[in-house]
Amino acid sequence: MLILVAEDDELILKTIEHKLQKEGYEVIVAHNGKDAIDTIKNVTVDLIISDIMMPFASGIEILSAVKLTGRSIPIIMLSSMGQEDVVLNAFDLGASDFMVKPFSPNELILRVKRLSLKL
Amino acid sequence: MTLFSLGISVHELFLTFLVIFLLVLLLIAAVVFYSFYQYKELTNIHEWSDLIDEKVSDSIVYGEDLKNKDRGLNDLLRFSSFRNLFLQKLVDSEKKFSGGAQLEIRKIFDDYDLKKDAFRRLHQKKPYLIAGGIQELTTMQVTEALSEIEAFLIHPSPQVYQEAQYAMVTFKGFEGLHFLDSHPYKISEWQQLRLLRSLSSITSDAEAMMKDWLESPNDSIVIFTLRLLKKFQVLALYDQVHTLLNHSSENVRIQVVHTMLALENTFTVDHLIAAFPSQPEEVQLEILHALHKAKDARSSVFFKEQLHSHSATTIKLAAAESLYTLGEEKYLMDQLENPDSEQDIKLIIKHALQLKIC
Repeated sequence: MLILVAEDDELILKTIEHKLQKEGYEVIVAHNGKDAIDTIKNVTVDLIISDIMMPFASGIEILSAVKLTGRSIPIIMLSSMGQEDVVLNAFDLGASDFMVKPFSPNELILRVKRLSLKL
Repeated sequence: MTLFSLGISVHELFLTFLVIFLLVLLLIAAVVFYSFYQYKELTNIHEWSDLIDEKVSDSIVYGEDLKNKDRGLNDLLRFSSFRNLFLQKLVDSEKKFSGGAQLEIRKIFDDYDLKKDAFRRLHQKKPYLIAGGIQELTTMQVTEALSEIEAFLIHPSPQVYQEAQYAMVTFKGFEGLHFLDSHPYKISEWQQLRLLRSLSSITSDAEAMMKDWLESPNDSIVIFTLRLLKKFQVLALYDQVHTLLNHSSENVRIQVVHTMLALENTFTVDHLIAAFPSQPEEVQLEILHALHKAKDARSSVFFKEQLHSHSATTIKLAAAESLYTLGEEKYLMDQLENPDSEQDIKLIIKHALQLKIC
């Protein structure tokens, strides 16, 4: 199972990447929204974990890009406190789940597993 | 007059130039050396940051399995600049994660014995360094630092005493707010929000404490307490809050209106309407907004009265908007169509309807 992780914070990105790899998932990383959108266009990923606020393109734009591909890819959004409006918007645009930062990597893995069961 | 007539020989002149030349060379060398040092430091910080990130990430992902994989950090601990960066990065990292990941980060702090560096900062002179030390010890939950941090509650620097206040609340919860009993300085809006956010519950004796704080001569403490009452829905203190509508500070009275609405009971609307005439315009506007949110049909007559009789346009406009919210659209339309209505009232109603419809 191939998972795309889009996050501009290096520590969070590395931690999620290593955690997913430890659990046996294949991972592609993107350091900003634009790289993530390019990846979505060129690679068939099975699941996306994306931060909402990122340079060049936001998590919301990633959701729109996924919609344009016509594929149904589960997306877990990571948001900061106080971004409720953005989170609601993200759900409207097709986000499957979201987690608020600071977050627990263990809980994220559980959510990934839950979503991957539905694939 | 020539140099020779001054008695300066060619030899002396040459020596002078040579000395100046050497001094310039020395200066250039010093600048180059300093720039190189700065560059090296910058490169080090970049490399060290990556190294620390790797260590934190490894610890979160693999935990105990990687306990001995030190990535050369032990060797770098002899540099104080590395230890400072390490501490700072751990504090920043701790804010990004929750649950077991936070515990792993605190374990790194213990394993590398960074506690003494954080304690050392408490004895520095510069306020930002002391505040940094308090923040580090608080984030890493070093409870043994509590008594030392408590002493900073009366430090003259706001940066220091604010960090100490936050630490007390982080360590002790509501009990940590005891500094409010005799706090002489203003608690900034930002600090109030920070403290409120970090509190998740109140203690059994909280009511008595908050009752005292409501009588504090420090207005910011009264406002903060009103916010606490609002957050934790302390209905029992409604009457004390109500009496504060006569407080000397306008800002306190504005917060009183917000808190009364949050603790609303069957008398709140009557209390607010009764207090309205004696308040300045800013507080009156807050009362109107509160009545608007309360959506109580009893306010309808009051709003109509303000629309027609109040002297301030902002109050008339707020009254018209509230009437619309209460479902008095027909009344407003009648006023518009009534040829006897005053022109300014018609303009205000049109504006209010436009705001509501758009």
